[in-house]
Amino acid sequence: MTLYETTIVLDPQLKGGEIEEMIKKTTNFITNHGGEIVNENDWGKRRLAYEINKKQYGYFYNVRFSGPGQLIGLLEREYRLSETVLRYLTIKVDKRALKLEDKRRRAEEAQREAAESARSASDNETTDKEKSQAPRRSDRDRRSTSERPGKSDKDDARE
Amino acid sequence: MMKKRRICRFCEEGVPFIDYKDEKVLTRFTTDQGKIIPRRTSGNCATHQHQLTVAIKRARHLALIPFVAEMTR
Repeated sequence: MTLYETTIVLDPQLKGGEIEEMIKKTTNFITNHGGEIVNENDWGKRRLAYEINKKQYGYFYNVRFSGPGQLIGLLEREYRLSETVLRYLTIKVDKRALKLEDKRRRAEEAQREAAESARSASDNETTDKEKSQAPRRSDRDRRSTSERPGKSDKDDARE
Repeated sequence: MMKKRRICRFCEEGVPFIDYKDEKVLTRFTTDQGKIIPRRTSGNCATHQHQLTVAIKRARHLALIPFVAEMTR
């Protein structure tokens, strides 16, 4: 059993349920032929970088599954027979790709945790900060206002 | 356009793999016309340049990025 990933581009002009029907058909095809779906990703309707069969947009759907090698040939045959599939791409998932996803997931989690800790910390600190910041600002204002006129007067006199 | 650079950007960032789904990364390494920038210009290492070209070609097939971009003047 190998891990594969397949992306299909469907005609977005299909009537409402037809896109979902096609997606279901492919996922069922995989499971019926000894495959096991790991992950599904609906990218939705996107603009194509170039026209395919006079179409500007495509409906992208990405499925990750593990299964026997013979399944791929059958699956791609199925794609070629159906006219609604504009493009398809089936690849073996690289081990390093999994590493990349793992890294991203970890980074996201770390970010979320950091955000949460920052939020809780800020809740505690806001009162302190407000107290400490308020007097500083007023001090600066006083200094600057008092210094400015004096300096400018001297400068003017020198010139 | 990118200037000559010796250090591989992907190595610097510690990227383990270049995926065909990240079109933003891929378009950074193509010219305005859509051509792949050679590693002598981008400074990519052999491993990452190879991954990048494979990813770009896959993305082109799915119409995520163009084969040839029309020049808009």
